[in-house]
Amino acid sequence: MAGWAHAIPSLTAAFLASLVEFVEALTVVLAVGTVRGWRPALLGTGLALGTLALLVLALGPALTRIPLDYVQLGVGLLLLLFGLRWLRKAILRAAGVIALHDEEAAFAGETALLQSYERARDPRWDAVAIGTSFKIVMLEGIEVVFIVIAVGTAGGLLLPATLGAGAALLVVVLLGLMLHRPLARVPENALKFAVGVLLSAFGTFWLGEGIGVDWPGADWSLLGLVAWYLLVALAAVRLSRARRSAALAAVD
Amino acid sequence: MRTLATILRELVGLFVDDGSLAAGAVVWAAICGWGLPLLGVGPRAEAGLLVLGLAALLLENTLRASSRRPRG
Repeated sequence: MAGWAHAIPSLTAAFLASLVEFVEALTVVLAVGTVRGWRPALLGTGLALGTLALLVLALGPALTRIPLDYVQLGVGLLLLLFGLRWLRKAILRAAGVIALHDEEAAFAGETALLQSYERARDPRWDAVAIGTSFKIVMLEGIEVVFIVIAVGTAGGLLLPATLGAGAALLVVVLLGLMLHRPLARVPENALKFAVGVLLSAFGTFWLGEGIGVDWPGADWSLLGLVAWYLLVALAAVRLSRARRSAALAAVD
Repeated sequence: MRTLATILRELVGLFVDDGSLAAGAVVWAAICGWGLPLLGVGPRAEAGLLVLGLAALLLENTLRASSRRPRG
Protein backbone atom coordinates (compact mmCIF):
# COMPACT_ATOMS: atom_id res chain seq x y z
CA MET A 1 0.00 0.00 0.00
CA ALA A 2 2.76 2.41 0.96
CA GLY A 3 4.31 1.74 -2.49
CA TRP A 4 1.58 3.95 -3.94
CA ALA A 5 2.74 6.76 -1.65
CA HIS A 6 5.94 6.80 -3.73
CA ALA A 7 4.84 5.48 -7.12
CA ILE A 8 2.19 8.13 -7.82
CA PRO A 9 4.34 11.14 -6.77
CA SER A 10 7.31 9.60 -8.70
CA LEU A 11 5.28 9.23 -11.87
CA THR A 12 3.72 12.69 -11.48
CA ALA A 13 7.06 14.39 -10.75
CA ALA A 14 8.76 12.72 -13.73
CA PHE A 15 5.82 13.51 -16.02
CA LEU A 16 5.48 17.19 -15.06
CA ALA A 17 9.23 17.90 -14.96
CA SER A 18 9.77 16.19 -18.30
CA LEU A 19 6.83 18.06 -19.81
CA VAL A 20 8.42 21.41 -18.91
CA GLU A 21 11.84 20.38 -20.25
CA PHE A 22 10.47 18.88 -23.49
CA VAL A 23 8.34 21.98 -24.16
CA GLU A 24 11.48 24.16 -23.90
CA ALA A 25 13.43 21.80 -26.19
CA LEU A 26 10.54 21.67 -28.68
CA THR A 27 10.57 25.48 -29.03
CA VAL A 28 14.20 25.48 -30.19
CA VAL A 29 13.87 22.36 -32.39
CA LEU A 30 10.83 23.97 -34.08
CA ALA A 31 12.84 27.15 -34.68
CA VAL A 32 15.71 25.13 -36.17
CA GLY A 33 13.35 23.10 -38.38
CA THR A 34 11.49 26.18 -39.60
CA VAL A 35 14.58 28.27 -40.40
CA ARG A 36 17.27 25.74 -41.37
CA GLY A 37 15.26 22.63 -42.41
CA TRP A 38 13.73 19.61 -40.71
CA ARG A 39 16.33 17.02 -41.64
CA PRO A 40 19.24 18.55 -39.66
CA ALA A 41 16.85 19.54 -36.83
CA LEU A 42 15.67 15.95 -36.43
CA LEU A 43 19.19 14.56 -36.92
CA GLY A 44 20.52 16.69 -34.03
CA THR A 45 17.52 15.67 -31.89
CA GLY A 46 18.03 11.98 -32.68
CA LEU A 47 21.75 12.13 -31.88
CA ALA A 48 21.04 13.77 -28.53
CA LEU A 49 18.29 11.27 -27.65
CA GLY A 50 20.69 8.41 -28.50
CA THR A 51 23.42 9.92 -26.29
CA LEU A 52 20.92 10.36 -23.44
CA ALA A 53 19.75 6.74 -23.78
CA LEU A 54 23.38 5.58 -23.51
CA LEU A 55 23.79 7.74 -20.41
CA VAL A 56 20.73 6.14 -18.76
CA LEU A 57 21.95 2.64 -19.67
CA ALA A 58 25.38 3.39 -18.18
CA LEU A 59 24.31 5.29 -15.05
CA GLY A 60 21.16 3.37 -14.05
CA PRO A 61 22.77 -0.06 -13.43
CA ALA A 62 25.91 1.57 -11.95
CA LEU A 63 23.84 3.31 -9.28
CA THR A 64 22.16 0.06 -8.24
CA ARG A 65 25.60 -1.32 -7.25
CA ILE A 66 26.16 1.45 -4.68
CA PRO A 67 24.79 0.73 -1.15
CA LEU A 68 21.26 2.14 -0.80
CA ASP A 69 22.16 4.40 2.17
CA TYR A 70 24.76 6.25 0.10
CA VAL A 71 22.45 6.47 -2.92
CA GLN A 72 19.66 7.90 -0.74
CA LEU A 73 22.01 10.42 0.84
CA GLY A 74 23.68 11.55 -2.42
CA VAL A 75 20.61 11.43 -4.63
CA GLY A 76 18.44 12.94 -1.89
CA LEU A 77 20.76 15.91 -1.47
CA LEU A 78 21.03 16.50 -5.24
CA LEU A 79 17.27 16.10 -5.65
CA LEU A 80 16.68 18.57 -2.81
CA LEU A 81 19.04 21.16 -4.37
CA PHE A 82 17.42 20.60 -7.77
CA GLY A 83 13.89 20.92 -6.32
CA LEU A 84 14.68 24.00 -4.23
CA ARG A 85 16.22 25.68 -7.31
CA TRP A 86 13.01 25.12 -9.31
CA LEU A 87 10.77 26.09 -6.40
CA ARG A 88 12.71 29.28 -5.64
CA LYS A 89 12.49 30.40 -9.27
CA ALA A 90 8.78 29.49 -9.53
CA ILE A 91 8.02 31.42 -6.29
CA LEU A 92 9.88 34.51 -7.52
CA ARG A 93 8.13 34.31 -10.92
CA ALA A 94 4.70 33.86 -9.33
CA ALA A 95 5.40 36.86 -7.05
CA GLY A 96 6.42 39.00 -10.05
CA VAL A 97 10.02 39.41 -8.89
CA ILE A 98 11.46 37.82 -12.05
CA ALA A 99 9.87 37.63 -15.49
CA LEU A 100 7.84 34.61 -16.63
CA HIS A 101 9.37 32.37 -19.30
CA ASP A 102 7.78 33.15 -22.68
CA GLU A 103 7.96 30.35 -25.28
CA GLU A 104 6.87 32.63 -28.14
CA ALA A 105 9.58 35.17 -27.30
CA ALA A 106 12.13 32.34 -27.03
CA PHE A 107 10.99 31.03 -30.45
CA ALA A 108 11.28 34.50 -32.03
CA GLY A 109 14.73 35.04 -30.50
CA GLU A 110 16.02 31.64 -31.63
CA THR A 111 14.58 32.11 -35.14
CA ALA A 112 16.29 35.50 -35.52
CA LEU A 113 19.60 34.07 -34.30
CA LEU A 114 19.45 31.09 -36.68
CA GLN A 115 18.62 33.36 -39.63
CA SER A 116 21.70 35.46 -38.89
CA TYR A 117 24.05 32.48 -39.50
CA GLU A 118 25.34 31.79 -43.00
CA ARG A 119 23.54 29.08 -44.98
CA ALA A 120 25.26 25.69 -45.16
CA ARG A 121 26.51 24.53 -48.58
CA ASP A 122 24.75 21.22 -48.11
CA PRO A 123 21.48 21.83 -46.20
CA ARG A 124 21.33 18.13 -45.25
CA TRP A 125 24.51 18.51 -43.15
CA ASP A 126 23.89 21.96 -41.71
CA ALA A 127 26.27 21.98 -38.71
CA VAL A 128 24.60 25.00 -37.08
CA ALA A 129 21.17 23.32 -37.23
CA ILE A 130 22.40 19.91 -36.09
CA GLY A 131 24.49 21.47 -33.30
CA THR A 132 21.66 23.71 -32.04
CA SER A 133 19.12 20.85 -31.90
CA PHE A 134 21.66 18.52 -30.32
CA LYS A 135 22.64 21.06 -27.66
CA ILE A 136 19.11 21.98 -26.56
CA VAL A 137 17.87 18.36 -26.45
CA MET A 138 20.99 17.36 -24.49
CA LEU A 139 20.66 20.27 -22.03
CA GLU A 140 16.97 19.74 -21.33
CA GLY A 141 17.27 15.95 -21.60
CA ILE A 142 20.04 15.78 -18.98
CA GLU A 143 17.61 17.27 -16.47
CA VAL A 144 14.99 14.67 -17.40
CA VAL A 145 17.56 11.85 -17.10
CA PHE A 146 18.62 13.14 -13.69
CA ILE A 147 15.03 13.34 -12.42
CA VAL A 148 14.13 9.87 -13.73
CA ILE A 149 17.28 8.26 -12.32
CA ALA A 150 17.14 10.16 -9.01
CA VAL A 151 13.44 9.63 -8.35
CA GLY A 152 13.63 6.08 -9.69
CA THR A 153 16.74 4.62 -8.10
CA ALA A 154 16.44 6.09 -4.59
CA GLY A 155 12.97 4.58 -4.20
CA GLY A 156 13.38 1.55 -6.47
CA LEU A 157 10.77 3.09 -8.78
CA LEU A 158 12.58 3.41 -12.08
CA LEU A 159 9.59 2.06 -14.02
CA PRO A 160 6.94 4.62 -12.95
CA ALA A 161 9.48 7.45 -13.31
CA THR A 162 10.43 6.28 -16.82
CA LEU A 163 6.76 5.88 -17.75
CA GLY A 164 6.08 9.44 -16.56
CA ALA A 165 8.93 10.88 -18.65
CA GLY A 166 7.95 8.75 -21.67
CA ALA A 167 4.35 9.93 -21.47
CA ALA A 168 5.52 13.56 -21.36
CA LEU A 169 7.72 13.03 -24.43
CA LEU A 170 4.79 11.48 -26.29
CA VAL A 171 2.45 14.36 -25.37
CA VAL A 172 4.95 17.04 -26.44
CA VAL A 173 5.92 15.28 -29.71
CA LEU A 174 2.24 14.78 -30.65
CA LEU A 175 1.36 18.39 -29.83
CA GLY A 176 4.43 19.60 -31.75
CA LEU A 177 3.46 17.54 -34.81
CA MET A 178 -0.13 18.80 -34.66
CA LEU A 179 0.55 22.47 -33.96
CA HIS A 180 3.95 23.14 -35.58
CA ARG A 181 4.46 26.09 -33.26
CA PRO A 182 5.72 26.64 -29.70
CA LEU A 183 3.46 25.44 -26.91
CA ALA A 184 2.99 28.93 -25.48
CA ARG A 185 -0.22 28.12 -23.62
CA VAL A 186 1.36 25.53 -21.33
CA PRO A 187 1.18 27.05 -17.81
CA GLU A 188 4.92 26.61 -17.42
CA ASN A 189 5.38 28.38 -14.12
CA ALA A 190 2.51 26.48 -12.48
CA LEU A 191 4.13 23.24 -13.69
CA LYS A 192 7.54 24.33 -12.39
CA PHE A 193 5.93 25.25 -9.07
CA ALA A 194 4.35 21.79 -8.78
CA VAL A 195 7.58 20.04 -9.83
CA GLY A 196 9.61 22.14 -7.38
CA VAL A 197 7.25 21.12 -4.56
CA LEU A 198 7.39 17.41 -5.50
CA LEU A 199 11.16 17.25 -5.99
CA SER A 200 11.87 19.21 -2.78
CA ALA A 201 9.63 16.74 -0.91
CA PHE A 202 11.34 13.73 -2.50
CA GLY A 203 14.79 15.20 -1.87
CA THR A 204 14.01 15.94 1.79
CA PHE A 205 12.57 12.46 2.29
CA TRP A 206 15.54 10.58 0.75
CA LEU A 207 18.08 12.87 2.38
CA GLY A 208 16.38 12.18 5.72
CA GLU A 209 16.49 8.43 5.05
CA GLY A 210 20.19 8.75 4.16
CA ILE A 211 21.11 10.58 7.38
CA GLY A 212 18.94 8.26 9.49
CA VAL A 213 16.02 10.41 10.65
CA ASP A 214 12.81 8.72 11.75
CA TRP A 215 9.91 9.88 9.57
CA PRO A 216 6.54 9.73 11.35
CA GLY A 217 4.23 7.49 9.30
CA ALA A 218 7.25 6.05 7.43
CA ASP A 219 6.69 6.24 3.65
CA TRP A 220 3.41 8.11 4.04
CA SER A 221 5.28 11.11 5.40
CA LEU A 222 6.27 11.81 1.78
CA LEU A 223 2.70 12.99 1.12
CA GLY A 224 2.92 15.17 4.25
CA LEU A 225 6.16 16.68 2.94
CA VAL A 226 4.46 17.49 -0.40
CA ALA A 227 1.64 19.29 1.47
CA TRP A 228 4.16 21.08 3.71
CA TYR A 229 6.29 22.40 0.82
CA LEU A 230 3.13 23.48 -1.02
CA LEU A 231 2.01 25.51 2.01
CA VAL A 232 5.46 27.04 2.51
CA ALA A 233 5.75 27.92 -1.20
CA LEU A 234 2.29 29.53 -1.32
CA ALA A 235 3.13 31.55 1.79
CA ALA A 236 6.46 32.54 0.21
CA VAL A 237 4.64 33.83 -2.90
CA ARG A 238 2.30 36.01 -0.80
CA LEU A 239 5.10 37.37 1.37
CA SER A 240 7.45 37.92 -1.59
CA ARG A 241 4.75 39.80 -3.51
CA ALA A 242 4.22 42.11 -0.52
CA ARG A 243 7.98 42.62 -0.13
CA ARG A 244 8.32 43.40 -3.84
CA SER A 245 5.54 45.98 -3.72
CA ALA A 246 7.23 47.65 -0.76
CA ALA A 247 10.61 47.64 -2.57
CA LEU A 248 9.04 49.18 -5.70
CA ALA A 249 7.21 51.80 -3.60
CA ALA A 250 10.51 52.76 -1.94
CA VAL A 251 12.10 53.34 -5.39
CA ASP A 252 9.16 55.56 -6.50
CA MET B 1 39.41 23.15 -21.68
CA ARG B 2 36.75 25.77 -22.32
CA THR B 3 34.25 23.06 -23.31
CA LEU B 4 34.99 21.19 -20.09
CA ALA B 5 34.43 24.38 -18.07
CA THR B 6 31.14 24.98 -19.91
CA ILE B 7 29.94 21.42 -19.22
CA LEU B 8 30.94 21.78 -15.55
CA ARG B 9 29.13 25.12 -15.29
CA GLU B 10 25.99 23.62 -16.86
CA LEU B 11 26.15 20.68 -14.44
CA VAL B 12 26.52 22.90 -11.38
CA GLY B 13 23.74 25.11 -12.76
CA LEU B 14 21.38 22.13 -12.63
CA PHE B 15 21.50 22.20 -8.85
CA VAL B 16 22.61 25.68 -7.85
CA ASP B 17 20.81 28.86 -8.85
CA ASP B 18 21.42 30.89 -5.73
CA GLY B 19 24.62 29.83 -3.98
CA SER B 20 23.49 30.82 -0.48
CA LEU B 21 20.35 28.65 -0.64
CA ALA B 22 22.30 25.61 -1.87
CA ALA B 23 25.10 26.12 0.68
CA GLY B 24 22.56 26.64 3.47
CA ALA B 25 20.71 23.42 2.56
CA VAL B 26 23.97 21.40 2.51
CA VAL B 27 25.14 22.85 5.85
CA TRP B 28 21.72 22.29 7.48
CA ALA B 29 21.63 18.69 6.21
CA ALA B 30 25.10 18.13 7.69
CA ILE B 31 24.04 19.64 11.03
CA CYS B 32 20.93 17.44 11.14
CA GLY B 33 22.83 14.33 10.07
CA TRP B 34 25.94 14.62 12.20
CA GLY B 35 25.65 17.56 14.61
CA LEU B 36 22.25 17.01 16.23
CA PRO B 37 22.85 13.33 17.15
CA LEU B 38 25.99 14.45 19.03
CA LEU B 39 23.76 16.77 21.08
CA GLY B 40 21.46 13.88 21.94
CA VAL B 41 18.61 14.90 19.62
CA GLY B 42 16.51 11.86 18.64
CA PRO B 43 15.85 10.76 15.03
CA ARG B 44 12.16 11.81 15.17
CA ALA B 45 13.05 15.34 16.32
CA GLU B 46 15.82 15.42 13.69
CA ALA B 47 13.18 14.82 11.00
CA GLY B 48 11.14 17.80 12.21
CA LEU B 49 14.17 20.06 12.50
CA LEU B 50 15.39 19.07 9.02
CA VAL B 51 12.04 20.00 7.47
CA LEU B 52 11.63 23.25 9.44
CA GLY B 53 15.18 24.39 8.71
CA LEU B 54 14.88 23.79 4.96
CA ALA B 55 11.55 25.65 4.82
CA ALA B 56 13.06 28.57 6.77
CA LEU B 57 16.00 28.72 4.34
CA LEU B 58 13.66 28.81 1.34
CA LEU B 59 11.47 31.52 2.88
CA GLU B 60 14.43 33.66 3.92
CA ASN B 61 16.02 33.34 0.49
CA THR B 62 12.91 34.27 -1.53
CA LEU B 63 12.10 37.19 0.79
CA ARG B 64 15.65 38.49 0.52
CA ALA B 65 15.49 38.27 -3.29
CA SER B 66 12.13 40.10 -3.28
CA SER B 67 13.45 42.92 -1.11
CA ARG B 68 16.31 43.74 -3.47
CA ARG B 69 15.99 47.18 -4.98
CA PRO B 70 14.89 46.83 -8.64
CA ARG B 71 17.51 47.99 -11.15
CA GLY B 72 16.94 50.91 -13.49
